[in-house]
Amino acid sequence: MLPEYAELHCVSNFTFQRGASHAEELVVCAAELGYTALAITDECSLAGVVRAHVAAKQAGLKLIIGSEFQLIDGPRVVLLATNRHGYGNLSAVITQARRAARKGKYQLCRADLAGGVPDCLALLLDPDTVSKEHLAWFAATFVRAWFMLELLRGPDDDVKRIHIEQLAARYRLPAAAAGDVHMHVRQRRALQDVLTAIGLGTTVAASGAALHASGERHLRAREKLARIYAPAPLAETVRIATQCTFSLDELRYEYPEELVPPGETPAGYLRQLTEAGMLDRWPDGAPEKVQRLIEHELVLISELRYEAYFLTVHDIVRFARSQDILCQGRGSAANSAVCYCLGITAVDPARMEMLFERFILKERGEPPDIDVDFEHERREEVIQYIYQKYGRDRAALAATVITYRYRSAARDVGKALGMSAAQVDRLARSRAWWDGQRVLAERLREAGFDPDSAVMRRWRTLVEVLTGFPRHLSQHVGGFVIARDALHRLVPVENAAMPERTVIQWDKDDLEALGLLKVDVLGLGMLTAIRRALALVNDFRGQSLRLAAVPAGDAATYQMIQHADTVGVFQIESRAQMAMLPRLRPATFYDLVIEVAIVRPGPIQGNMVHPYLRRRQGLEPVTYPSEQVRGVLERTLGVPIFQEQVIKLAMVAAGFSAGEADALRRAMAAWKRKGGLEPFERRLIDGMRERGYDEQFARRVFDQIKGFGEYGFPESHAASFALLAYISAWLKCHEPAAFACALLNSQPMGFYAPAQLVQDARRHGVEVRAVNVCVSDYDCTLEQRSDHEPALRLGLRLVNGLSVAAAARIVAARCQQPFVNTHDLAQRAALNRKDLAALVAANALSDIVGHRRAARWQVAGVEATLPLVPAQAVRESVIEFARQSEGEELVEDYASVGLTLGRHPLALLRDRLKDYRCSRELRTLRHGSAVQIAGLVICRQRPGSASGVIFVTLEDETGVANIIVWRALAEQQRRELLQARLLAVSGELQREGEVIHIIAHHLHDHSHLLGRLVTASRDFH
Amino acid sequence: MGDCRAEGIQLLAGTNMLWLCLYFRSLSLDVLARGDCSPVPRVIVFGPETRLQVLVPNAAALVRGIHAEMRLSAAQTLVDDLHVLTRDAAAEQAAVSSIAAWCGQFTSTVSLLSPDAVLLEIGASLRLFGGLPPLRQTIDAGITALGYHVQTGIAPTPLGAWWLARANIAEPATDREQLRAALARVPLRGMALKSDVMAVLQGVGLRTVGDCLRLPRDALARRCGATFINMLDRALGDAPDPRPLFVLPPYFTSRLPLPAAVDDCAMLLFAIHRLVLELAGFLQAREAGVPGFVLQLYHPGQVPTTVSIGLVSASRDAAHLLRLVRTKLEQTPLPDGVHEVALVARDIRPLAATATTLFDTAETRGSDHWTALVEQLRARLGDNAVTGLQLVADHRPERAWHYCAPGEDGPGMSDAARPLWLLVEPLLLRQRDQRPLLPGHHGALTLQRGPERIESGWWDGGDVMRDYFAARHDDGIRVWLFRERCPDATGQRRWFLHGIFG
Repeated sequence: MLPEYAELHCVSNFTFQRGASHAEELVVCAAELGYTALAITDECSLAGVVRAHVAAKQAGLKLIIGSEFQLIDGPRVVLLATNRHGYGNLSAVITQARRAARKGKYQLCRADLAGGVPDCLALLLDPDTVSKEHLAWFAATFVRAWFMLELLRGPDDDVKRIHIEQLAARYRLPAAAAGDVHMHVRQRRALQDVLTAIGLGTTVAASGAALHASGERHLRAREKLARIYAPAPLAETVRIATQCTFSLDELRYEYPEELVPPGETPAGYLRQLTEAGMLDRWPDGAPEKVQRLIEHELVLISELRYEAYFLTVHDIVRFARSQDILCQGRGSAANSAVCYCLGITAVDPARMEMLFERFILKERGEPPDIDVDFEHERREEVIQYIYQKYGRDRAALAATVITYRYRSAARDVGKALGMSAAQVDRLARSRAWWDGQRVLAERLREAGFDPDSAVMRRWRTLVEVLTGFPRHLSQHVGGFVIARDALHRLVPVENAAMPERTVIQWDKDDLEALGLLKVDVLGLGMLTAIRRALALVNDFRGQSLRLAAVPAGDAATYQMIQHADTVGVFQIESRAQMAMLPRLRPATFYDLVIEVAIVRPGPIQGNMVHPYLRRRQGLEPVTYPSEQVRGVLERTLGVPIFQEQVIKLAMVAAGFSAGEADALRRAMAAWKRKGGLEPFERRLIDGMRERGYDEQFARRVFDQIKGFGEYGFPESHAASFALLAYISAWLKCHEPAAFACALLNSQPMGFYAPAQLVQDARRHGVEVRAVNVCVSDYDCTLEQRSDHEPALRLGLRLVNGLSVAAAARIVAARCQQPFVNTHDLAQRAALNRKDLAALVAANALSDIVGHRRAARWQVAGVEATLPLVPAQAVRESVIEFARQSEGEELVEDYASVGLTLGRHPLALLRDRLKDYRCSRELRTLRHGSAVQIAGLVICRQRPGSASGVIFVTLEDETGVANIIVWRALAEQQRRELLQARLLAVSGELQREGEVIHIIAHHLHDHSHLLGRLVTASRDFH
Repeated sequence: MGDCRAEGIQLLAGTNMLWLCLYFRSLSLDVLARGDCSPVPRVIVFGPETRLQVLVPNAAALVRGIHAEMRLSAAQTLVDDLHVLTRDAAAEQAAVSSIAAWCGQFTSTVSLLSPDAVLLEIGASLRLFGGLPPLRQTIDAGITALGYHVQTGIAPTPLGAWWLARANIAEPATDREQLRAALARVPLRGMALKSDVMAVLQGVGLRTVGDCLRLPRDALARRCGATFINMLDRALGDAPDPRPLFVLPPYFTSRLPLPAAVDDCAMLLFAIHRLVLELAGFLQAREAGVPGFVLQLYHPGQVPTTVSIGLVSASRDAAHLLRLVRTKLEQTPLPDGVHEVALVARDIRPLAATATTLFDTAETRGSDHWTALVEQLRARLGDNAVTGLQLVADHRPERAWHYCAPGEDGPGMSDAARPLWLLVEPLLLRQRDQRPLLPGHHGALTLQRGPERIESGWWDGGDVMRDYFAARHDDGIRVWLFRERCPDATGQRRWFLHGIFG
């Protein structure tokens, strides 16, 4: 008979640089070996326990939650939680130890554990190496305590065993067996050694004694354990395990309570706020349909006791609004009528005539999900508000687990195997971004390595396993967890890299798995830009336009959108979106919602785009495979486009239960990172076939599910984004100067660099004025033209290398009195040499001293005299310097401001590129014509959905051209494709209506012309 | 005449002085690559690990389109098998000192000017070497033979010579008038300016030293600093420019890293040839010879091999010394992969000056024929190469104790009870009924302690998976055995003897 056994000392790969197996692997393996229980005891961390918990439930294994600690002034111990209270205490100990040290470290002393840790069991590791003092301390401190006997085929296990047994007898504590487990199977030994080396920052070969002598630290088969241990220490493990009854399922989230005024109930207060909001939204009374909806939602919320969640989000949004911070909610619950009344979203169900799948949380059993986007530059204010309101012990950010990607794994393994820096660099770059997950032998050969050599085989295997391992915890972009009481009794809290910022040890998947709620406080650049644009317009025209009052259904705006004239417009400015717009021709708000959602990996991979377009253009009849399906797909012409439609299809067409559908949704969100979608494939396709659906249709639906992955767009998200897309398009259409100005002031954001935004604005007739120290503010501004229309004045913020403070001093000094000369400027704005040089490089001093060379001479003189002659400029004879050539000016414009108001570089080079067409001429060519074109590479893109295709955007003096490079050519001409700054393409023109692409047949790198332009112009004066 | 020496090491530029500057534009590359004659594309890189940039490409790399400051990744797309080396500043410094010592054969006034330039005052040497062109040719050829790329400039001032060398203006300027004209053509880059000064001058469109000289002095001083003006004055000879004298080191040592590990004797000799030439020049400068010297061949991770060359009588004849080296190396078994060679000569003995290296020919050695023969014979018989001890932290016992003499205590891996005598190669044991037998001893082995499991070393191809036991033989001998964890081809798990307890 095999002995029963529970492993009580086991670290997962969340003990960074030690654990060599995923928590899930450990759990599955322990279950297979027939262990009674498994404790995950990561070092001062609970980061891996939720994954282990989920896997353990599935595998039917008992999981024990614990943690290992190396005390600064004491021994190494493991603490195991016996119940909820013990778990809270353990979490608190970890929090204390983590908060006492910088990010990623911990610090725990004997004094911190004085009095023991109630409801936790204490295990002493390696008692034979522990000093008498520490042994006595341990025995005295912990009530329920054990001496651990870890026999790992060391130099003399017998001696060790006898020693520990003697100690146990002396201190009257039982001895129990354990395995110091670092990996689930022995085969991870090499990886474990590599992790050790990475931790030491050295090579495996140089790690010497730090490596483990053997691969014994894995989950050992029970028959082996029976040979190594006497029955007593094995039986003791099971006795310990039975004392640990805690499960993570016992954790219950408790909402903050202070939002409800005294004397009110949460439900009553929420109703009160909703009704007040309703009156605000519909001063003449809400339509009956809406009233019914709201009633229905309020009942649901009340039944599920989610009032506090809605109140929390409402409170945050109310704060933002009070500070004039633009925000908008999204997520399934955000687009409820209640959220509209509470002001969390602006998507008005009545006005937009949308058929929202009203938040269906009851059916789906999922917690409500509200993400709120704030202006990206002011999000910090919101975060600080949350910290201030709830306190740091009740609010913290969720973690993001940073995992090894190919490149980082390639580097770290390469270094650990002793490769040189240059080799490692080459290896890391050996895989191009389109090569997919696996390291191709061919790529390695190209990079000069022999993929079949022993070293490279080892390297490849290790890289493959290491990829996906967690490296460290970082802070989630904005996922806040707020608790009623101290958060650190729910989950350990640790320091983040940012000072004064703390994160919990769980990421969003962990929170979701346990049904804990978080509020996503996200930053969105477009909201910043929109608020700025509205402010600029209101200021310039003396009006007070608000976000909610932007006219809906504006024909001119939709016309602009249909022509794909959308540089800078939220969401629909990408290459792929622009190619879709003239085909889909959005004419209503709901069209925009579809537009936003359809150019996404899901619908593209599910091949849903073309069927939808054909049906929309009337080229194909709109049919439904069944009446149930009609109910789900009617608003999208029978083609599934949104994430929730696909989930719903699984239910109505494949017979998924609500629980199964929910599991599918979770798997969908995580499969790219974790896999686990396979079981659903069979189930879905069989289910649909059984119910008489075409297998092909079923397969497309499944492909779409895979495509949604992490990037799935539910209808509610699409609707929120479509609203911002519409508003930004309206601004671009009617207030192009203000819109461009706001975008420039909100950089970095969006798809295009300032150069392209300015080019685009100028093409739309906006007068753009140069950066000028005599008139420019820090931000770009609008100036009044003689015809009372606005001109865009570039701001000092665009000047590369000029500090914000210096720019502020310039503006302040100028307000008092205009600058008379450079010396005056330098004096009054207290500019240092670097600031002045930056201004000269930007040609911002032209009004005071003339062109760049003259200015530079002046400025150099001013600087040197500053400390000696504070009051006046030195008198010196004027030296005439020749003005820079146009090419030289261009180069400096780009280097300093990132754009030029002079001629486009291609205009200067056109003489040498006579054989190439301008982008403007493309419109006159027929489909299928052979064409040659050259331009600056402004964008290279590989959509995740298009297999191996690279999109390249070229810019010349007349506009942009869109190039498609198929995979074969991309492979063949990698160098040109990836490195050319000035690229020439010969290929074939393809047009479909207004959409023009060039399919590249050959690429030619002309970047040297840019280089020569610089040199030639330097020689030219 | 402004010859006012301060404590014998300060020199002042005088009217009759003529300076020759040796400027090594690709020093960082030459230092690492001069030991290799193969024309593979090769670059020196610098910068942070993730953004390495090319510092210097060699000629083969230049031809393939690689240029300085290019990103390494970009360079690698141009040349797949590009040979990449990392800069070694210490080696560069040592190289410049060696060159300066070598230059001592042409003049007693040598000065180190910058990390990549050496100054020689040659005014006094011209007659001895038959005038400027032959002297210059001798120096150029000598430097080239040492494996360096050099640009020379000749001017009456140190800075002038340096700038001309940097600008690769070969035409000598022998008086101040010529100097002024020549310097006017030197581009700004030739002056080795600080980056802020350079930014100002370039930023206003200046391109040459001449452009600077045309601007008003005070305006220029205000912007570029007094040091800049003084530098111009020193270059033109309008201000004194004393230079510290390079002092010859008391003995000779020089290292030559090899860009790729070499195990071919001919390639090794190519590299050693350069070192011997350096030694010969050094000895010429000191009017000395050596009665012997030592070569050290470095192998990665191992003790260097030392090769001693002894002479019957002191000599400084490069060809002769090299012949001795060749003979000796043919006799010395070389371990794989020499990646660096060093030549050390500590015993420097005065030797009558030979007229000049120019007229030195093989005939002068004719009468010494028998001594050379004796030396070659001695080299063939040679004394044993000395090997040192090296202790490695490694779980594998044979690695951890590799060079440890038997019975000696080493800093082992742990406090584990290890035998005092360790077999260099574990000895395969016969077995009966899966029990090991001790060779030459009848009777049984009793396992006393173990198994201690050692599984380590996968990274270098020497992975071991063993269970170690301490065992006692009926005779009373205590031994250290291991059994392999993996069965061999016949399905048996083999036993080995690895140590004997004292």
